[in-house]
Amino acid sequence: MKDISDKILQKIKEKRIKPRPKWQFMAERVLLWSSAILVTIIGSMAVSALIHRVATQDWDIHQYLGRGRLQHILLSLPYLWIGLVCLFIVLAYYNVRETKSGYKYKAYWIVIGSIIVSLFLGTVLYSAKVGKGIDSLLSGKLPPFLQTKQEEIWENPDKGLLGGEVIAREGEVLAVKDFTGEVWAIDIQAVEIPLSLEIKAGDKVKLVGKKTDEHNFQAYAIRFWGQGPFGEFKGFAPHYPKIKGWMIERKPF
Amino acid sequence: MVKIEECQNKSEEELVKLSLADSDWFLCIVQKYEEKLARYIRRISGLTETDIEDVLQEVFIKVYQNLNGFDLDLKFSSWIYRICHNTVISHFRHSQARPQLIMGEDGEKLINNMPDEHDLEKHVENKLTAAEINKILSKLEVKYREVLVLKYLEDKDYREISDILKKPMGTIGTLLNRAKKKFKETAAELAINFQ
Repeated sequence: MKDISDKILQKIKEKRIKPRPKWQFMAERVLLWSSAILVTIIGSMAVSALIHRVATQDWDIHQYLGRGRLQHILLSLPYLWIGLVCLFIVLAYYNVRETKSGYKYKAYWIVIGSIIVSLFLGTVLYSAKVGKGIDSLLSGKLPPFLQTKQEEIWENPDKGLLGGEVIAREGEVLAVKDFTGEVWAIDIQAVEIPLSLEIKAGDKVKLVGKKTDEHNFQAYAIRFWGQGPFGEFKGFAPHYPKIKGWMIERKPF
Repeated sequence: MVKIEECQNKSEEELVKLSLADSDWFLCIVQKYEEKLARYIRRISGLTETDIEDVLQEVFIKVYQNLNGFDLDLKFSSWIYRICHNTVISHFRHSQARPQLIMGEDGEKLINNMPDEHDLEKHVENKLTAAEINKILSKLEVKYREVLVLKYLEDKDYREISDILKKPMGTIGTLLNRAKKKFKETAAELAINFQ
């Protein structure tokens, strides 16, 4: 052990070992922080898509589908986005741990911090409609098993659920083309539509009501496509608080 | 060639800067830490003297290569111990070896330095032999052994241990308590009187 100092110095000189230059350490730090920022941004985008999904999901139609409330919630949760958000939180955790002072914080504080930052940024992005954009951009491009098609739920006129695009309106009757291409005459007399809101050709709608014959449907409640009980148009049903977000019928159905 | 006397009035930060400019100055750092680190490696690993020397050389080469990455927020000793700790762990991973005994009087120092919250003073009075202490320590996992060594043999405080092991200070406290508990349990398992 005596000569170890000399041995080390000799080895350094013989093998021409040099200290790694300062810029390499700087570059590592920049790379680490860039990836942390990137992970946070992508994670926040996933959160904004998740919020969009939660806000626009029809959580309140379980009775029409013959499902229990919990069963409907479990079947409707956006698992893809939940999975992605979890993945980005894990990535953010490892990124923070690798930073200079990351080890000083307990794992749960890093995870809680990542969740808070992602939620905050995700909400901001959702408000800027980024979540909606990402969700629609990705939903058509994903493998079928990852897609949750809302359209399928609204192709059930026999169960009282019909969705489609308004192609014409005449007084209190709408002509709606459903997702299979069939055209329906929708009687909306029973629906109390706020004066400030106009339903016109080109609008995509979801209808709750009753099929009266092969091409006729009596609507009791209408919601625009892309809106849910927690969506932008909540609070239209002051007299019928159980079903928020619907333009509500005059008579209970 | 740098003379020992020249090293003595220089701070560690100055020595880092000087070593970056001229590798001869690195001798000061090596001489200041070779004994401490060799003892630390011996304490946590129980490697043979030849292996300790190899690991020690590897540690100092790494230190030299990473001098520009020395974090001024840390104490230099914490930084160099961290590199040493990582090198020893990596050595175990590569060699698949399990750390062995803590030798001789170190075992007694460990016991003497442990706080008396579990009435450890009593155990000291029991005059546990170094062999018995070694036997207990050899049964402990590395994570418990290294924290006991850093706290009670290397006299590091919680902040330094946290910086060396790269774990939060709260975790160090928990780890230390568990290590002491494990020490006690292992003593009981080995039927060593530890009341």
